[in-house]
Amino acid sequence: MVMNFLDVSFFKRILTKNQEKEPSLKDRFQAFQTLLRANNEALEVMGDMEEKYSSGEYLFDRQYIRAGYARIRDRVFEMVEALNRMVPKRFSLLYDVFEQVDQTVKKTVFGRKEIPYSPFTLSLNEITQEMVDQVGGKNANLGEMRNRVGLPVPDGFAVTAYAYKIFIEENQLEQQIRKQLDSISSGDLEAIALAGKKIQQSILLARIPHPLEKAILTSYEQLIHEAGREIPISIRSSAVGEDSEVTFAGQYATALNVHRDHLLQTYKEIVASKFTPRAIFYWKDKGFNEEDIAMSVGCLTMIPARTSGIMYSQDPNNLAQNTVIISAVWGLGQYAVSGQVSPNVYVMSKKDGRIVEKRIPRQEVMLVCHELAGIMETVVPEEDQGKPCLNDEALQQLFAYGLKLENHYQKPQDIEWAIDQEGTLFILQTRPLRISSSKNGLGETTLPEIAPDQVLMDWGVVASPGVGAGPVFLVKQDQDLIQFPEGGVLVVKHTAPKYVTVMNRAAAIITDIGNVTGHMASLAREFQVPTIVDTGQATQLLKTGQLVTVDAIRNKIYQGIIGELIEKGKEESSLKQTAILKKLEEVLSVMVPLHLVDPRHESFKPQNCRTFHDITRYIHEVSIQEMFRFNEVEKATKKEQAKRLISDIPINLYLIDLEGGLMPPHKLRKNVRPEDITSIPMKALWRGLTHPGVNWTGMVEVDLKGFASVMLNTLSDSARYGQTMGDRSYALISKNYMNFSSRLAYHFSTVDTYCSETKNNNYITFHFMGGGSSSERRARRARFISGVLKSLDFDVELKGDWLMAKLLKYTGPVTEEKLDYLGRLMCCSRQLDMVMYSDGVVEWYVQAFLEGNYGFERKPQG
Amino acid sequence: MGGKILIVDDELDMLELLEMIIVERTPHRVVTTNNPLEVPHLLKETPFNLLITDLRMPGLSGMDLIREAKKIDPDLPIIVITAYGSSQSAEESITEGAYDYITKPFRKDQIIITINRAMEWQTMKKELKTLKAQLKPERE
Repeated sequence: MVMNFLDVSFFKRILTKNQEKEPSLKDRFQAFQTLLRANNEALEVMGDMEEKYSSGEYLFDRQYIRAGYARIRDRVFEMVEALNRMVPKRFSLLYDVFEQVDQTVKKTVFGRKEIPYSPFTLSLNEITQEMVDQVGGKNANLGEMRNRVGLPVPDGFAVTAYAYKIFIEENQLEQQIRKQLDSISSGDLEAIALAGKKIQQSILLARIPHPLEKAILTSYEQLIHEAGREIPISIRSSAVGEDSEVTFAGQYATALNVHRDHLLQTYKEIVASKFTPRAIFYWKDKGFNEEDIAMSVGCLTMIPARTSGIMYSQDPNNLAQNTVIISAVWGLGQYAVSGQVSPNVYVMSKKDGRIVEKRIPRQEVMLVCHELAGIMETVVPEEDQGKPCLNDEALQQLFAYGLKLENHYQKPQDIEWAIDQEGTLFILQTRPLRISSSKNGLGETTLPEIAPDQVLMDWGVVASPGVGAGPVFLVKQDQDLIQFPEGGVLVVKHTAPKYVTVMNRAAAIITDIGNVTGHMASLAREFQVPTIVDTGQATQLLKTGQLVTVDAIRNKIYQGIIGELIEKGKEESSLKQTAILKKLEEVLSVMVPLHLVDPRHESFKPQNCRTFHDITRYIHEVSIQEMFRFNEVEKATKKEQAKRLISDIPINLYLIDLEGGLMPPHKLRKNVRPEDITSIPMKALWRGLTHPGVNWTGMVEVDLKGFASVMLNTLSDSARYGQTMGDRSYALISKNYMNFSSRLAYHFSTVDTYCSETKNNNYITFHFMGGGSSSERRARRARFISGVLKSLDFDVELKGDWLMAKLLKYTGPVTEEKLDYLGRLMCCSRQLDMVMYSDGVVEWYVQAFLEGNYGFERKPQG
Repeated sequence: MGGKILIVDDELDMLELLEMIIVERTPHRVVTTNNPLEVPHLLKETPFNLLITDLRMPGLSGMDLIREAKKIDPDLPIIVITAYGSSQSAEESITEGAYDYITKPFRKDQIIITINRAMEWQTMKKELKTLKAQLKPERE
């Protein structure tokens, strides 16, 4: 898939232009809706990717990660754009923040390793395994064998990946390659082959930069100096980087018996050989990057072999046999692999080096070095034709080297070797052996054996693999969960998803009843808590506080803590850390962690957004704040049609329909009635405001005004809120949205809410402030409101008489229900400050409200 | 009884994961390659009970691969792995003779179930062939 990345700066320019005009209310609201949708989608994809990572139950490829990233990225950008449409200019910094975050994520997603700086050439004497990024896998292994394992490897040097980078850059080959790729489609195999040829031509014609040329020749001189004579070399490619291995495995070019005159040209040929149709196919899909094929080249002293071949340190098709397989031919090794001749085959027992099988077919032709350059076929001397090409001594030496290499790399090896005319053995290459894998030798056998008398139970079913240990904690009723200790082993009768609340603290879980496919089991796997279900009697056999070790690999529960087993268990699970999972983990770690947790904290700023999740969190928060500020906007946009609501309750309310909040216009009169309202949240709030038993009497404006003004003293609410009694209340409404600013009595409140079928979009924010009475009484009323709202599951923040309450992500029906209660509360609390004569009464009023005693009538005691 | 499965995918990650979970959860043996061009050679060399292949690969497309494999072993069940949103080519692969297809990303149990079914299908097909041969020797 070719990802169509948005050009941020382009959008920025367009937007700044459009932003000069104040957006209309409708525009703002539409932008807000877009923002909410994008927010949900982004979070959904993040959730999906996290699930794929943590459950360990999915198989996916890099394309999945790339596509997920692209979706999240596009949605987050949409949010940035939408917020800037809602509120021009103020949040333009977010474009830069977005770009910064995206750069980091993109780098991680595409995993392009930078080619590290290094000298143009490095002698094999100074190379070890860790230098793989500089010299490629093959060279790194040669250096490792020579310098760490202490095996005979021919003298030589590596032309580094950095040298390659300079070569490509100096010749501006990257641009040429891009041009070639632009003109072809990835389905057109012929065009791809042709483009490959053209690119190879350009490379062969390119000039090696002078300093690189000098470095190669100097290293070559050094080889000659050490050998004491003019020597030919072999030149081989050595792939660099994980991705290049993925893409270009098996494409190794090699040139043998190269002399000084052809050194530089051969280097170019080897570089060009990487530009195969296969490589081009990928670049077409992914976009060419020189890092993708960063390539090092190895130059080794040519071994004019008398005998050469391949050794497998393990029979790949028969692991149980435990044998080493050596194949050998007369002359150079190429014939041993290409099948031109039948090689000698020696099968040796890995235990004692005894030859268990030997095949010596007749070999008539062989490859040798041409005296001028290159290689040629010749006849095997008559006396050697039917003879084994390896004697016992050579076989034993090879066998020993094979075991040494397998031991060093901790994996069976595929080894290339050669013996020169003098009988000296050299190792030319080693790499991991491709093995057909099966259960043999894997899994259970690596766990230590535990004495049978320590086994408490072994008849459950493993629901989540792993090993965990700790004190048993029996949970009989839900309240017990609160006491659950860190690192405890949860023991319960039934599986139930509610135990997820302690999964981050549990070392293991055991249940009497339950199954592997249940919801709790999948949660346990997600949290990687070793879990055994269906034991039948764990709650009877185990006691709280008893120490146990749960081996949810072999399905056993042991008495006591078995440290050794826990350690091994960890190794088992680390086996599951495959490259692709690591990749996803890496990508998630730069996209998903949330750093902007608390909107009240001073760090809640765009410049502190470090991940896509941070950006969504920030934008979501400020967009809701901005919607809350609609009432300010409303003053600036008097043109919007406000309709007076006529009803039985004494409230001076005007409605502004943003979209679908009222019946269609042709059905409306100048003044609307409650039955004309189609806005879901407005209807819900209205139900509360008009709830039977909720008392609106006494709401006589003039009387109140007179009464309140007595109470007010000099504290001027008018000055604080820029309003006076009798001001209008406004509600901006749409089908799913409502922003209701009310001035009931002397306080000011705003309900801002979104209520739809999509749980994630739904919220209620409620702001409340002020009142006509003394500050103590106002604060008491605010405490009353806070008390009620907390009981209704709102998250409440209270400062004196200022209150803010929030309710997020409840289902549509529940959100409606809460709005209904909020309506009742707004009405009931209207003048309560007047009667809140002491702190002690606050709790009584809260209880009264919750009991539905909206008139706050005191029942006679007894 | 364990069978032998050949997996072809140009992404080494996918190969690694598939191999890991098949080996972990089934008795089958697994051979993997990321070079589709190698497949005919591998199939000729030793018999396999199942071939699992990606559809979109360079060199030899999954569709060509199915044709090649069917030429070598007409009874070999083939499971095709496709990317999300390319169900059309997946269906085409079925008309070409693939046994089933599975869309990435997929759950581990999904592929295991598909593999087991394909293996059973192959066994049944072989048994059927033998039975038919026994019943109608005159036609052979």
